[in-house]
Amino acid sequence: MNLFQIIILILILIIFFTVTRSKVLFLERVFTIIVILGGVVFLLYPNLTTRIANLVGIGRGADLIFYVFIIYGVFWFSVLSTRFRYVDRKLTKIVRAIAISKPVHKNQNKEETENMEVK
Amino acid sequence: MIDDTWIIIPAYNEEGSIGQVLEDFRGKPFSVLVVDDCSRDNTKSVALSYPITLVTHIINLGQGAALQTGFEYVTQYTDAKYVVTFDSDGQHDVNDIRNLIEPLMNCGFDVSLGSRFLDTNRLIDIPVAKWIVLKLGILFTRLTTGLKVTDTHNGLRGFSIEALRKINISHDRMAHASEILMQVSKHNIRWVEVPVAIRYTEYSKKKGQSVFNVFDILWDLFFGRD
Repeated sequence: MNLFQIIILILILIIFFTVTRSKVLFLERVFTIIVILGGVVFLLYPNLTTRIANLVGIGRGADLIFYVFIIYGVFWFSVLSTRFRYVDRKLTKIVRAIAISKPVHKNQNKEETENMEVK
Repeated sequence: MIDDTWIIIPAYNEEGSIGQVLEDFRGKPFSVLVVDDCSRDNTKSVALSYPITLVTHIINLGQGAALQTGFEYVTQYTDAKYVVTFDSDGQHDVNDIRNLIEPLMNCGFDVSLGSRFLDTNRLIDIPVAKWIVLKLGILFTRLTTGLKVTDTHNGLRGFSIEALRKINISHDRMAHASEILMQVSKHNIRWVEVPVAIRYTEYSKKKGQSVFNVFDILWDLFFGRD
């Protein structure tokens, strides 16, 4: 193993331990672990990628890894988009609840009254 | 009764126009709710110098969210029988409100949609690009909801309180127009179109939805589905 491989290996292990300790969905964890383990394996045995690539009809091992990574990227994009949308929804609910809880009433006499009773 | 009507006016940075809009409501039998979507200018203080009710978003959420906030306030905290949404930029005419409520009160409809294309005499100075974008929106809406609506992005709409309880806008920003129509279609709510006037003043032309927003609306609708 050369220096490059060692550094990447350490990085992968760091990511692995960080992700498994955070609060993410089960599917995300599983996918991430598979990809990380796969990354470790292929880092240590680069020729393995070529053999698997040939099995599935792709020319080079590097291409295989590239394709897997694209899938992984799209997966994450979808997960994060959904996450953002849910956070936005929750935020909206909070802002709305605050808005509705503090109405300001200006009647004809320009008097200001707050917090009308719920009907 | 017509005075069981609440007007919902969402506003974001409209200090230049909201004064005149609220002035036009003086002496009218409607109750007015202004939803301030975290304006950074003097919209709020201008609005509070008129006899209205004001609720404020502490973060800017978008016009769809402001309307939904208005809907929830009115359905939960007032005795409203009818609700009309009205823009704060001076594009709408107060005199059209009666025309929107009338079919709800007397003809058994639950939603009245203002349309600028029904009565072309009232189409005052519409910019060409806007006309094209609107027509495309209409085509898209017919394809997705099956509703033959002539003006899909008109903020002047009337609702019976029963219809409003069924409608829930979850898209915070500009896709809400299409969302309202989809829900009208989904719940089989009886709707009718009413000709209304839309004034394209210099002010509102500058602030109006840009053509690029059509793309945003489409993206929201395709990728924002639940």
